Amino acid sequence: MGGEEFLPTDEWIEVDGKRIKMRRGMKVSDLMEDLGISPQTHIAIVNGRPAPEDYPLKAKDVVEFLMFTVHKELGGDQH
Amino acid sequence: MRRPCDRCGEREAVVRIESLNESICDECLSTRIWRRVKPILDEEIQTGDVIASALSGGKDSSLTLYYLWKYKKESNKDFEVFAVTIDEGTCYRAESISKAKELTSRLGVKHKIVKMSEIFAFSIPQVQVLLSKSKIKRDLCTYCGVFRRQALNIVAREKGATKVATGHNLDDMVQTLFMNLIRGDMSAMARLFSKSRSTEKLIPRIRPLAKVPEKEVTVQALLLGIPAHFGKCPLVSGMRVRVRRFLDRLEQENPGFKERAFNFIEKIVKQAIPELTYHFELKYCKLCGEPTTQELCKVCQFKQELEAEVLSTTD
Repeated sequence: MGGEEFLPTDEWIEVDGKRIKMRRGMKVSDLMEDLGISPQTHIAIVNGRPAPEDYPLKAKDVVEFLMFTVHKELGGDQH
Repeated sequence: MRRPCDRCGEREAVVRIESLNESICDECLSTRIWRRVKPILDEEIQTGDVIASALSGGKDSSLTLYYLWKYKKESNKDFEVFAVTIDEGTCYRAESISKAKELTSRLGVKHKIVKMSEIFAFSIPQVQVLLSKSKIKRDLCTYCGVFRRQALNIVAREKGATKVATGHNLDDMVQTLFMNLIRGDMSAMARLFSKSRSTEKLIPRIRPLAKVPEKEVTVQALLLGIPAHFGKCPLVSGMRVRVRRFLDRLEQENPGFKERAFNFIEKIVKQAIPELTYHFELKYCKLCGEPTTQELCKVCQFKQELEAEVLSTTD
């Protein structure tokens, strides 16, 4: 990240119910990095639809993150 | 359009497939997943089969049931599908059971819900209390997995099932491979890839989502509007969690690593299986008569350990 295109704007997006200022050219992956959220464990839902990490965010987008990793024991199929 | 699909360019992209450097739309994702699921169903399901689909109400088992239902509708094979839910008694399960009921009702699939305590005389929360007071180092998830697996086999057998379908996805499979590697458990590794043999008491298992990454399962379940519980078990702990984090880091740095690792290990193990099969000759538990690879099944071993703990704490 960095450079002029990432300067903060007066525009905002809503993330998990909170308004945050966005930067120009910001993608879902940038937001995930800022928030310390891994694409290995979470997917982004933007305006109610799943969105890829390279989705370019727009002002007033409503973003939620859904953790998808659960835990299932195969346990080597112990009998 | 928000961001077009890299494959068809016609619809908006919904998921990023980092290993392919592509973001794809709902229809391209459906096609990609079905191409991985259908060959497994083609190979594993025969006319006359009765499939017990293990349904926790989570996204993986719910999508598995949906695919079995779709396959039954679209293939020319005449087979039956019903759903089985094992209720371990955790508070977490209540919500997922309500989702499971909603799905089976929507699909018109018969649904059997059985409490674990009805089969083994105790629930997972009771095991958790015992473990917290004991010196046993084993994770609660190990007990839950072993008890659920046997309960599922018992219920499926009693209901006349010829196969049990589970919702294990690619991530689950790779985690298990690496856990077996860490433990040096060749026998478990071989069992994972060998075709389940049907015996009088052991119902063979199939894993329709074994080649589908968990992220894609999640997005597909959401897009199909499948009622599913997306929560995480609050009791989760143990080696699998550490292995998952390790594998996630590797996947992040080397996109497609999990799939390549799975295919690589599968190839090697399948070639070695004839040599390994003698390691897991099936026997019957001396105490309960359930199928096992040892003298006592894991459930009876664990029950004995827990009962000994109860006695030692009441002394």
